[in-house]
Amino acid sequence: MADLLQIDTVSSGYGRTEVLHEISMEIGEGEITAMIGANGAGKSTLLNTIIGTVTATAGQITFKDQDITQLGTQRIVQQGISLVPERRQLFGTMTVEENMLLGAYARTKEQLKGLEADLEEQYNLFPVLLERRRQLAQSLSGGEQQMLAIARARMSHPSLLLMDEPSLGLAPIMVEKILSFIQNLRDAGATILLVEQNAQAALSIADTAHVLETGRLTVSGSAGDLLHNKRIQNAYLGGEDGGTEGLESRIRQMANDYDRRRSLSE
Amino acid sequence: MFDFATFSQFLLSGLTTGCIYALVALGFVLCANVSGVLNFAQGEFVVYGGLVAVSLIGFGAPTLLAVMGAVFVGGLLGLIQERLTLEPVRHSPAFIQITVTLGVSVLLRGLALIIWGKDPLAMPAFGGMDGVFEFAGAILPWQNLWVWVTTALLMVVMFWFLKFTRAGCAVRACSINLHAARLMGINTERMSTLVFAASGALGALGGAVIAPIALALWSSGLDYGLKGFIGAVIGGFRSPGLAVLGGLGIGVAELMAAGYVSSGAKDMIVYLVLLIYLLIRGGVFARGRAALLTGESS
Amino acid sequence: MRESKVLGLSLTKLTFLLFAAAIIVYPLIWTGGFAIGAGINVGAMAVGALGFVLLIGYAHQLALGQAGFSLIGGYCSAILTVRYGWDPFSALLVALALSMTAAYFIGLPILKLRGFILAMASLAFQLILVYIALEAGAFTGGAEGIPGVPKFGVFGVTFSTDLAFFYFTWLLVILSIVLGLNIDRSRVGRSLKAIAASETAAGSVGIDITIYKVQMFVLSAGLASIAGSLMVHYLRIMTPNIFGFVFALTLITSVIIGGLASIWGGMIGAVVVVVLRENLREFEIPLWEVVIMGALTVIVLILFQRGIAGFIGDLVSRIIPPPPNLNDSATDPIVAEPFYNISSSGGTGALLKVDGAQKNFGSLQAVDNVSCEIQPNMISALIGPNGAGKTTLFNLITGHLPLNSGQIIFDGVEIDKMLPHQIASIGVGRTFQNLQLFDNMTVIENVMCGYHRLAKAGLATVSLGLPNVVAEERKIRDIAVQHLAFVGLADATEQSPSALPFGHQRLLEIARALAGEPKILLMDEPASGLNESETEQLAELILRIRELGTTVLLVEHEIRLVMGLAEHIIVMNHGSKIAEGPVAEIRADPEVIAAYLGTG
Repeated sequence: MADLLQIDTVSSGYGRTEVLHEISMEIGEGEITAMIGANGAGKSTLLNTIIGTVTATAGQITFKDQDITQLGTQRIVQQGISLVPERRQLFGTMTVEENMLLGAYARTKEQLKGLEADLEEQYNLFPVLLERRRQLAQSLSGGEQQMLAIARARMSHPSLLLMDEPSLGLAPIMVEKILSFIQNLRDAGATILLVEQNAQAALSIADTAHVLETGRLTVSGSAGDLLHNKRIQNAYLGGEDGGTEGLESRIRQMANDYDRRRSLSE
Repeated sequence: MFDFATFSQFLLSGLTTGCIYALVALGFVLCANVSGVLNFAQGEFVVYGGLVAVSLIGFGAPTLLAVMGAVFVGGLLGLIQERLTLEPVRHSPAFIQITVTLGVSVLLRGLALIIWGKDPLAMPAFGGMDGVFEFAGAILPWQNLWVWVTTALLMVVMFWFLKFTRAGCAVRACSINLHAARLMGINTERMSTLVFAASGALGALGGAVIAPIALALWSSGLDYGLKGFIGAVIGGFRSPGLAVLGGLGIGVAELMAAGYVSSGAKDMIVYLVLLIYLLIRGGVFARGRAALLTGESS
Repeated sequence: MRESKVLGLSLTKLTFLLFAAAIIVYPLIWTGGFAIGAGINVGAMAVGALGFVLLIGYAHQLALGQAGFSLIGGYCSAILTVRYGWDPFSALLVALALSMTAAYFIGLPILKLRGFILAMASLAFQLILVYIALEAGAFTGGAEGIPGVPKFGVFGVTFSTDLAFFYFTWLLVILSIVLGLNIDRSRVGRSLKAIAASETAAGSVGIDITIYKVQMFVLSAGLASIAGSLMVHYLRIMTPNIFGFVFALTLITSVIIGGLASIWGGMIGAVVVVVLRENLREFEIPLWEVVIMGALTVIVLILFQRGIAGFIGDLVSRIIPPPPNLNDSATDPIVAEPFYNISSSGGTGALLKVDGAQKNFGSLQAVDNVSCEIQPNMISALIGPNGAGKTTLFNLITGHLPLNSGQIIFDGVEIDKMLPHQIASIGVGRTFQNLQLFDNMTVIENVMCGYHRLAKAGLATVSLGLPNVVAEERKIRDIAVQHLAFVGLADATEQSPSALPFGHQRLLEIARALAGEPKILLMDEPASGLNESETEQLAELILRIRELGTTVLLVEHEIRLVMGLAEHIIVMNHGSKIAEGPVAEIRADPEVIAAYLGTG
């Protein structure tokens, strides 16, 4: 499997804050790659850096052998990457169909010829959207909105689909539906980079997974391996079995010292 | 005693000036929603539209060409303003951006004085239709009809543009959710320039078409700007349609005040309406995109 | 603010001397009624311009129509002196009082507006006044106005020569600049700058934004009124269009060109604009005045945002070295003695009690019936997955969001209906995840802002430059140095916050919050963006903060910090509290594990 996207020692952040520190990873074609980690770890920042709304301060991002690090969002979308943003970011006061058509905005005249067919394809995949095509996007339920966000992103014919926490704010049943749907996409040949805080959900459908902790990649491997790795639990809830060496242990030592001193002086 | 003919006279004349205010209001709303800037110079575009049209007619151009020339100049001014003066301060605090537009409006105002002088300039009615017509008890110069028709046509074109064209959809998308619009591959900076050029063109068209009635004068910019702004405010900043209604409403209100109260006091009454309205609804303007316009510090 | 010294004098004193010299010398060089008259004109405008600098440059309130108060001042002076034979100076004082009173009642509602809308409303106000002046003929003389305004005089002594009037006017200019400088260097000036930099952070140190805005509005109205009165005695007539839109524009452009952020800016701008105008008249191209002013405004804002004053300031600071930082390397932060001590509140009850807090955004229950207690002298943490409602709960406590139902009680006081600055002033301190530093002030001034709730100096005492204000300033400065030493930033006092590395900026924000001697410190993701060793240092700092007697409540994602440090943890998910207790319990709690890993 060729690597569709290569990220090479990329650092990135907002203003003075550096959120990502020298990240390197690859996205394989036709796979679901999951990026998990606690909130604040930098997962969204990574997606934003790829899609160009944040510029990397160091490193290089290569897509289909093209350096896209300094490109603007418009060009990157045209190159074939599309982002399903966190919390959907739909055009609430526009209809479902208008939202989808906007997804195709970046396509060239050539590509626009297949527009009707594409719309049909999306409606086939999401029949509920067909039902609601003339309704305002904001009147849809959470799960339907997520589906619309995905359909909209797919309208630009992306070779790489980035998804930012699709399970956020959805009821567990909906989450299941969306997940199985993402799997179907992959089975049909799509390449997906999935960012999730919900580790269990992400690992259950991914092929490859990476763990992001405070801006650095700490664990990588096949999703199956990671699923049962205690390291994941530690990444979220701390408590390294590393004994006295870890950050948490050192902090606890310090706290104990202070507590001791306090009880001595009382 | 209520005289219908007089009432009708005021109403319809007011509708005419209201059309121009509506165009200005539309310009305000477009720029506000897509670029996040309220443009002090909005009224100056109207002035330039009228003055340029007058000059072109003076050079012997046919009316249609003169109007087109005016619209072109208006669009050009809007474009230049956005690219040259707003682009550099895009990341400065809001009150700097607002003051820059104030500077541009003063600049344009002064330039108009130098180029066209201090006297109001006249322009013949379109198609040489100097006469008057009667409608619903009112007697109006034919040019009024030109204004209504032009404005109505423009509204239709604008509606069609926003609803049915790709660029128009992009403009709407930008005003609903700028970040998402960017993710769709929309070039938001180009959109910003586009709406500025459009608002310049709209204002200029208004100025050209009202010139035979109201005369073109270098100093009217503030007045058009303020009244168009009132229209946009009362119509709410979100919807172009409401902005247009607001502009029409102010035009009518102004003429009613002039007719029934005093022509000297008409401006004061309109400004009073604005002031009172804003003071009552003050807190409302800190919501959503409008918060950007009202200069929230981070 | 500490300043560099040249020839043994501080920069300000030096500038003042040069300025005073220039004023005395001016009429001796440019003799002749015309030059003196122009000088009076500039002086009057300079006073009005200072008002604009304070209002627009300092308070960031774009009330463009403030010249309306010049109109009120002008008419008041004209009517009292012409129709009732009053002494001009007394008339000026009455006009001043009238304008400032009117400004208070107009300011309260109008300052609820912001930005462009405030600008337009204010312009509308001014234009309405102009129209009233035109129409109310019996009172104002209508379009003809009120001619025959006498020469200026003070308590029966008329200034028969323009020269006397010139010196008097510039005396007023000097006094107003002194006023402005006193404000700039005081708690009031700091508060204004804080509000301009970040209203949220200003509220978090207890600054009441509304009061300061209104104060500046009233003060600038007063200065505008004085300018109006002076102009009227210079022109010897008052008409409606003297203080119309053109005058407003002239004032604004002078302020922008001169420098919005500088007290000297108004005066410099007034000089530039009048000199420009007179020169254009000389070259017989007066029409170009408006164009050039407009062009200058745009150019200055784009290229030299801080105007001529800012430009000169930069030049000067390049030639003259900046004052040295206070180098307190002798103070090793690790052994710094605690210098304030919150005595544990008498009762045994919780310091902070959240009782059934409910916050909905439409149908989304962001905080759903959450109850918890924070005990004093402990380090507590609030954790939970993304979207759990932690930040919302924080904002409910600090008053930035209103509750739908429930109660929040802090130190025995019900705070859920209070405004953020009120909550801050009873001892709730806060730091922000996305750093809300006051970039427009130095490091030490940031910390001095933190002391706000414990200081007393207000506009009245500050303007007069009373000695107890000066003493308080010195005390606040010393305290600020101590707090900076406490966090380890003692050698950065005069730097700009944006020059500090990120980790130090976080420390600065903590020092600022500590300066208010808070009973509880709410920290919003303090470890965000820090590396491991910085996180460890942060942990130690938090422990030392607890030693001072301040209770700490953290929202944090860096789980290792939380698990190592917190004595008490509250876990939220989907808006509800799902667990509460010590570390070991929380880590083993199946519901917590499920919430984080997604198996729930």
